[in-house]
Amino acid sequence: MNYVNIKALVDVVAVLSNDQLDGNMYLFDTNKLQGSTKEGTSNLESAVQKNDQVLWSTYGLEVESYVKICDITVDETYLTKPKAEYYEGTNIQYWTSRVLKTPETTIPYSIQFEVGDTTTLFATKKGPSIKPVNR
Amino acid sequence: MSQQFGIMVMIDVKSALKTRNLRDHAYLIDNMKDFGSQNEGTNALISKVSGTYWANGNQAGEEVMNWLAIDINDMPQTVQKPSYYTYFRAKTIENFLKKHLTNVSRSEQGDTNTNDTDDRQLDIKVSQQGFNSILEQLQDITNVAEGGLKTNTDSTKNIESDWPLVSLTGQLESGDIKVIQEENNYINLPPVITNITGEAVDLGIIYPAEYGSPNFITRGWYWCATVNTAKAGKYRYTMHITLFDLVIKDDQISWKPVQLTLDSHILISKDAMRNGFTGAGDSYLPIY
Repeated sequence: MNYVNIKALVDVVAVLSNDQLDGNMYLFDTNKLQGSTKEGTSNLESAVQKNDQVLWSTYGLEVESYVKICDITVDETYLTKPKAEYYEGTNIQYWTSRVLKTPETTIPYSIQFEVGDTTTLFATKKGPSIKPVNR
Repeated sequence: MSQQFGIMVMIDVKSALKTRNLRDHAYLIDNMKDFGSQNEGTNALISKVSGTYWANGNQAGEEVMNWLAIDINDMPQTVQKPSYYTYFRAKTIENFLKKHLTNVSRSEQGDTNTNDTDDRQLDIKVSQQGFNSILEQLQDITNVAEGGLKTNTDSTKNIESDWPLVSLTGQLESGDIKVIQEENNYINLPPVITNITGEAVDLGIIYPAEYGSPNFITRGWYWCATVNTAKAGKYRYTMHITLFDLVIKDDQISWKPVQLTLDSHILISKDAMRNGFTGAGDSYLPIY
């Protein structure tokens, strides 16, 4: 088992100013050496393999701004349904999922965010995905 | 009016350490994208700073830039760390030299119990010989280079830690250290910016300095610079960043400081500042 940690950095002010997440959210993971690509974009492709444990968490570019992941939708052939948990003693979430099957190709998934004090949920038009690790 | 700009230096610390290559594993994002910053989310960020001027062309105010280096593998910065966690971090980084000095001074006085956990009482009453010994040991761990004190990455001494590793979700680890290391389920000590140098500093475009912060969440330190916006142009600067590599020897954990550098750019323009707080959307600031 290997942990793949994915961070979503959201420019909250830009999302609210432009009313869109595209171009204002940056995804990074810790698996570039295993083949992850498109680091620093909103359509990160994370290289994973069977039994990897995936973690997602988010924060705003300016720490006083509010952003929260409210749902992650995945293809459950490849990933278990992501579950929200809390860092101990806080109300800040992280989401976890286990890779059930190594993807043969690029498999997209979607992250939905609550941003600022709006009731709108934000997601990117072309979301991130998982892909097989380098052989 | 000065404006606060923030630059987040996101680092995949483990990959950077594995390859000893910071450039391919660092991504910079600032909050000036709407003002014209380029290459957000890459290692080639160009931070745009618009100058502020009076109608006669004189500079009206300096801008302020702030840098935060963050490990992608770390918990979100907004997580208030449990007390043991903050204590662990503070002990291993900020009190490192103090602890080292304390143990040396105690042993100089014949105190063999240098593992006493109450090491915050620093006794500086040591002999000249003892003082020289302290200096020699410090010189092995650090070296004074141009621009200030640097961590000596060639040192054979690592930063020792009596504390267990912390998992990716903030729990103290209690299992087999080697398994934890293989599974990547631990957080490195956070990256530390130790200096900012280069063309932008040499030419007097930015005046960087490290500041202490009373806020524990920010881990106590950050780098900040005032920007001389009178000199329009694109300027390079270099961040000196220390990462900490996990070393396991005889089931003991220690951290080896590894110093790497990362270049970035600042672009100062004479464009008018825009105001996003008027309720009328983005508009230009009135110039008197």
